Amino acid sequence: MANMIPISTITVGSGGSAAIEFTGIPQTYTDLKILGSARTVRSGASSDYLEIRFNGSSSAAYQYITFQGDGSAVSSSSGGSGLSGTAIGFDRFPSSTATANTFGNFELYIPNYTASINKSVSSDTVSENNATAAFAVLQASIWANTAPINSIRFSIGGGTLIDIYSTFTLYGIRKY
Amino acid sequence: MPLPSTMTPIATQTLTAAASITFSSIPQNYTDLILVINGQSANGSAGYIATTFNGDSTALYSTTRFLSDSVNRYSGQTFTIAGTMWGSRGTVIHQIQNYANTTTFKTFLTRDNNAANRVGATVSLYRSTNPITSVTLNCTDAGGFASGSTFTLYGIKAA
Repeated sequence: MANMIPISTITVGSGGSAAIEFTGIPQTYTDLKILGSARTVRSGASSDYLEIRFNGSSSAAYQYITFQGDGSAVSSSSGGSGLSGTAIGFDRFPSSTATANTFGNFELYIPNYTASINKSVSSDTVSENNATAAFAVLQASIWANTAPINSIRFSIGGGTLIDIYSTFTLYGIRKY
Repeated sequence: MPLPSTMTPIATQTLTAAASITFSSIPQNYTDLILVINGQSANGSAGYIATTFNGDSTALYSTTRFLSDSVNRYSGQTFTIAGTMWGSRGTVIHQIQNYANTTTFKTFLTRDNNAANRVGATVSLYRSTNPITSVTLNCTDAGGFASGSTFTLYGIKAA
């Protein structure tokens, strides 16, 4: 029996959107996976980030470490030190000045999303655009909250819109 | 990673606290395995996870890794380690390819995630042509795995 079940897919429509959100997430799985492809609108920028929040919470409880390569160098960064972040900063996606029609792909995995524990997130993101600004990103994140996750929101970071044709698919993974 | 055609749970274990955990009698009818660890070390310090197969603790393992904390990047090689647990909750995901074959050594990929400490990826090799029938994860240098740590083994079938 297959146990990686598609729950919902969101595709950004004409005009773009400042945010997308999965709501009413069923509590019947053990882990969640999100596969996506995204691009943003950010004037003068070749790359951009999204912000992730769970259960609509902007309280200071998020923290993350990012490790990335851009084709010529590697770098590290972090956000929300000491669980002071109000969202997960989710890098890096092609933006307005990146090669047209290029999107960044990502995989995001959240184990034990219904358990009464802090929620750990593993994510990989890539953006290749036949130009110098391309990225491969590994990221570890946490939401220090024991509530079960019932909604996940991706909102624009530095830009103004998540671009048309960006897609996000939420899967539930069962252990039993 | 391509979307698996099937991802079937084989077994899951939630610890009360232990230094090690073993999945045994792994079915041989999948193509790959994915092992998801969500937990933390018992004493709050860095606990390296030694992954061994088939109860084989001989010198048949090697690992090349690259990782980062919030400031620095590292790359190196070790010979038993794949994954790390820390005092705050993190996630380690192993992908063990072609685990049941009897002709090649076994390679596996690991993504190591802890938002307070580090993020990284490793590639590891088990130099044995034996099919993998058991996996043991050992975390002895940080008081073992903390209570509530979960371990789930999935089988992946090719289309």
